[in-house]
Amino acid sequence: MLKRLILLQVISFICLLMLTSCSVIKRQYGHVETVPAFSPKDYHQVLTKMGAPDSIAVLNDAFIFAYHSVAIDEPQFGLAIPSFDIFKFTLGSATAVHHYHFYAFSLQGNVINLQTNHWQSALGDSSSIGLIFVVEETVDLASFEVRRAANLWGERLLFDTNLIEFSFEEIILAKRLDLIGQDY
Amino acid sequence: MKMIYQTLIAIMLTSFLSGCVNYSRDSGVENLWRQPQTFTNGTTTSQQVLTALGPPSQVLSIGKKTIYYYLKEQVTREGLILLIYNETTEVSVFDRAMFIFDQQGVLVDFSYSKLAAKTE
Repeated sequence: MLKRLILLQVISFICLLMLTSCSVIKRQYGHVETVPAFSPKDYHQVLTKMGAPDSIAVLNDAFIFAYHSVAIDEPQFGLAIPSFDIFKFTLGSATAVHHYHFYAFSLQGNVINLQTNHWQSALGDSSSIGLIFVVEETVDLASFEVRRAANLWGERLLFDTNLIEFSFEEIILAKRLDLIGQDY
Repeated sequence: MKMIYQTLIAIMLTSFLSGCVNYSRDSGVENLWRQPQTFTNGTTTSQQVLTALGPPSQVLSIGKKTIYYYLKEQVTREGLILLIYNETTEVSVFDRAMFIFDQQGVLVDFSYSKLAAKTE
């Protein structure tokens, strides 16, 4: 009888363990080349070391190359309801690690300013209820999933100029500040 | 006693239930710049780049220079779904090429994005 009780306790313990589960959702947006610190004199050297930038911005008398990557980790902890364990309650939070390189040049192409930065930010936490076999996202990352501006750019050029707020010619001719490339 | 063993076996079998997911999607222009190309600073013209790569994703002027910017976005997602542990990994690769031309439309400089070691 005692043996049976111990066995029951062991089974109950295993069942309890089974009721919990965890998920890890990882995302990587872009890649910034890891390079030793360097002091470029012009944009040619930056292009050689870092490759084509993620974003380019043009000011009146300067232009900027930006390189940006984001790695997001979203660990989750799930709990199932006894006797109803087809559904799972999940708690999750997400953390983003950013790598950012910024290079500003004069219109002649000489470096005016440069800055590299790495930082970590919390993207929030939340909870969800879902089927036990489904990995649910608990943090809203919709802003990372929109179509890239670069891929919409051509379409936007086709808009009726009488209906849009401003003409794209101004951006192409650098009369108006805008960022091209990735927009996260 | 038999029922206990059956329960134990059922629990163990359930814990081995697993699944996997995998998908990928591409958007943007075709990354023809990853194929062998012969672009040379000072001689290649914007017309030759257009012929080789097609229309760019974006065009921008910087002072008297013109930039052609090409972008291809590749997203892949892989996931392992177990009962007690699930893991999914999504990787977005922004494959880029940039060409800078002078007023005469001659190539001044060009560059491709550096790819992570895993995707090269």
